Amino acid sequence: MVSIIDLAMDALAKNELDKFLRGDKPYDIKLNQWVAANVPTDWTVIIPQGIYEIYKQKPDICIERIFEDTIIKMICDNLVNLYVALNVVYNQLLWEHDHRAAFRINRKKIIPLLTKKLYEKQKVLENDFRWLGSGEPKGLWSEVMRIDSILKDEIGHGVL
Amino acid sequence: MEKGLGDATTSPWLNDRRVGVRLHLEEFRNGASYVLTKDQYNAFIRNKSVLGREDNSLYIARKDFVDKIFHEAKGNIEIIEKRLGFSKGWFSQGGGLVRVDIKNPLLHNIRMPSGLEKGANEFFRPGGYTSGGVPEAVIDNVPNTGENRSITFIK
Repeated sequence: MVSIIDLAMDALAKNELDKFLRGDKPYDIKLNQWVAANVPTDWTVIIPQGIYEIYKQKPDICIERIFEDTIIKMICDNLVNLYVALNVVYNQLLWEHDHRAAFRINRKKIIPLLTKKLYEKQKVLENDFRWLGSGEPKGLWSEVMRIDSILKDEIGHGVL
Repeated sequence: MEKGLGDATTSPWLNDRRVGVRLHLEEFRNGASYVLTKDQYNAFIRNKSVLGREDNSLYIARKDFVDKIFHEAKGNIEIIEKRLGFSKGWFSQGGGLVRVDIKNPLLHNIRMPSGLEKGANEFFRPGGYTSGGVPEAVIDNVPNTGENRSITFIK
């Protein structure tokens, strides 16, 4: 079985970090059966075990810069990438708050851009019922609101 | 101890003609449980309106089985990891352990896992036990409210 760090290294070598963060093949991983969630990948596993491990083991790669650039690119791309970027940023902010993130991202650059793009795509998100938007009255926008509300509770500011 | 609610009207599989199936499912009467990391809880479960997947399925373990493991572990998460088939350090690396207990699972269409559920993974084995020997079943999605479940956080 290939380790997560090897998958991340492979993605980096092929300039496919966005695919890794989306869980596209061959970077897909299966969630534990008790994690009852329909999501593209498990960011709670691939970021600490992939991105953070590369940061610790191979500092010369400057993964934090590539990670940040990839997030920005995804925010500005299609709805799928925006949704994935939202989840990546959400988990990253919680880990930064808990002092468990290997590095910090540039919030001043990323959060306003994310907010702007989320509002621009609000109507489309409200009508998209994939992943955790399934069964929710406002589709993926319900997810945006859920994440925003948790971030406000936990770290004092959200993404909206 | 008060007996958990539910019968063949809420869980038709309790009428299955195979006695082994009926007995297996009946053992969930007094509760079901599952565990995940705190990071996964925050990412996917917290503040959601329902627990479960888009195909209306939620994998569960027997509460008394999980109770016994927790009791024997006496707070040692490494023992819980080992007994439930997780890798060492899984929960501490994931921010802690979250235990979800489902009340009255027989009210929620309990059934044997088919392996066709969206949540089934490559380790699925038929027969109602995980590859690590944990007794399991599947129920319909459960409203994520205090009436239906309790959530415990363990560091």
